[in-house]
Amino acid sequence: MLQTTSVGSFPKPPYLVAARAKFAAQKISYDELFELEQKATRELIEMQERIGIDIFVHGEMERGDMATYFAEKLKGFTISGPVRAYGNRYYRKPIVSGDVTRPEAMTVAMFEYAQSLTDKPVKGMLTGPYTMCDWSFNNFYADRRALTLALAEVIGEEARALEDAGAKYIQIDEPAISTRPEELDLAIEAMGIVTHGMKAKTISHICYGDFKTIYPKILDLPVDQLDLEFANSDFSNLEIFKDPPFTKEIALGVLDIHSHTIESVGQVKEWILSALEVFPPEKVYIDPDCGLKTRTLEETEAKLKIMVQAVREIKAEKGWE
Amino acid sequence: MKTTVVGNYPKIPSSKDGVNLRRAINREEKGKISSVELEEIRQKTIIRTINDQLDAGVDIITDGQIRWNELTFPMATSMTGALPGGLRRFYDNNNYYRRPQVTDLLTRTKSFVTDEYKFAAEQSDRPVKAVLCGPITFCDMTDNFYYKSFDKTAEAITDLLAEEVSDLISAGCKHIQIDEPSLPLFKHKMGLARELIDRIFAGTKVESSIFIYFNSIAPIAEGLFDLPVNGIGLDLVSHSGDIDLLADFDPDKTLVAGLFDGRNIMLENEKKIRASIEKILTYLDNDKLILSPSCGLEFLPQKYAIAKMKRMTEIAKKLSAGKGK
Repeated sequence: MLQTTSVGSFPKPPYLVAARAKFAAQKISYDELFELEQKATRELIEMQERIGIDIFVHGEMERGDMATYFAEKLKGFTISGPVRAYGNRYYRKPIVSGDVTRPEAMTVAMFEYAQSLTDKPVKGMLTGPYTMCDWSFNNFYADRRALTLALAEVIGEEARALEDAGAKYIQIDEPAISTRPEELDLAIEAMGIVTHGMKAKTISHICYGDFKTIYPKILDLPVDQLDLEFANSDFSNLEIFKDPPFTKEIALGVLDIHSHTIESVGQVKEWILSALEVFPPEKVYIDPDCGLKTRTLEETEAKLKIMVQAVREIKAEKGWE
Repeated sequence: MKTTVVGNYPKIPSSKDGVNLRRAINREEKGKISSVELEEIRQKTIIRTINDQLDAGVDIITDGQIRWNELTFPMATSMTGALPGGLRRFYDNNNYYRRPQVTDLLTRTKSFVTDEYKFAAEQSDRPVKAVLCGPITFCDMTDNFYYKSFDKTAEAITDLLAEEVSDLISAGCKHIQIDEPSLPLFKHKMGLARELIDRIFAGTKVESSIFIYFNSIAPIAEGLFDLPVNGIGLDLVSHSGDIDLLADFDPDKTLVAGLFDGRNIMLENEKKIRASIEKILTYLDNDKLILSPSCGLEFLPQKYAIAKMKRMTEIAKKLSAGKGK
């Protein structure tokens, strides 16, 4: 009950940021970069042990952007250049310029490495087909549907490879899913191709959308758990999920990942308790609103500690230990 | 045939050695450069943006909104009574804006865009268009905790927009565009919108225009064409069927036809653009048509934004030559 986890990305330590820049400028080899990615991953696993998180993430030290990373591993993509997402944050927007295929596993090696460092389960982390389509320029497929379904095939192959490697939780993020409510059926169909026949627990993270426009239809998304942001809007979106009742597991975002301010234990407890009036406790997981890569490592650890402390106090008060 | 752009423009260059505003902002945050040095980089970026447009042959340019993070940014950062809120998706884009929170009486502490206009106008021998977020869109993108209603908030921001328009005109600005992408979502507010737009431009002689992008104008076409402005700008890419609605266009107004996709790198096919223009010219005269991208070009990396503008001006030139002008 109330297991704690994270959405995916963690901040990169300064030595890795520097190494990535050197690698991009061809001043160090991939082996040298990979060694530092492993070192940073190890440090993040240690940090999660230290804080007392229940379900780990590997931290995505090897990834820049969540869509571009896969575009660079898959065949059929090129990269156009940096496009601003918000504030001073940019992503290198992919171009689909040919048939999308998966020449080799994209995430398994880093998953296996992270899992080898801990007894806690580590989540396998993928970006969903609808989001990959929405965040790319499509210069090849006839339409968005054709591209999304082609992406579903290759991301499904990767999901099965992660399951074969022992992943008990596989998260397929679809932050773009609320962008065009009229395409929700397509996103659901594509996710069905990805998760078909999987035994691992499947999760999808969705953010920055107007949930009103996709609820309750989003409950048809073929995953076991939805991971949603709440802190960002002071939990005002909780109302939406009261009627009709939420039928899946829910991971509750209780930390605003775009704010430097560290939440108070009291605030996080209050939010969780208000959510427990809407969702049954046995179906609730607790995590930040979104990936933490835009925070500093210090802010990340401080925020996650508050989250774990809030959960511990609630469990003690409710006698759920 | 004249050309223009809608507003925003990529802030960082495609080439590695160009002035890089993203890096400069990061370095200023870390204390590695001063705010004065950052300001120099901002100005250089605005000059590059203006030169990209001039080199591409665009007739009516903007400063690229290089200082803005989002459409409401210049207002939200130049007013008392508004605080920055959480991030929200900007329509159907992978782009997010900070949602202002209105918590007190809104008053201007400085001009929203007039200083930016003055700087840009000094750099350009062609007219610079000033762009402002319209009152309906401002209210749609804001959480109001102070005013009694949506309408009251809209009226309050309208008064400030009217002050800004007056400042812009005093500074010599001849083209002012109000962006109202949310307007089609507020069919029931068209009466209010008309009143507010009228108030913003009342008694002025400026080339006033309103631009709607991303959302189809179908729900509001009639009222939109009737608004008291000189020009109407439309995104004719996101909802290509909207072109048929131009049958009811007011031929005394200028149409800014957003026929070039500001959100995709693919360059437009000349034949298709010509066909669209021919259709549009059955509804209005040649001299009432200005070509434009469908929205700001910041959704593209810089080199693609340049290519997009060039494609637009090449087609405009050929069309003008074909008409013997």
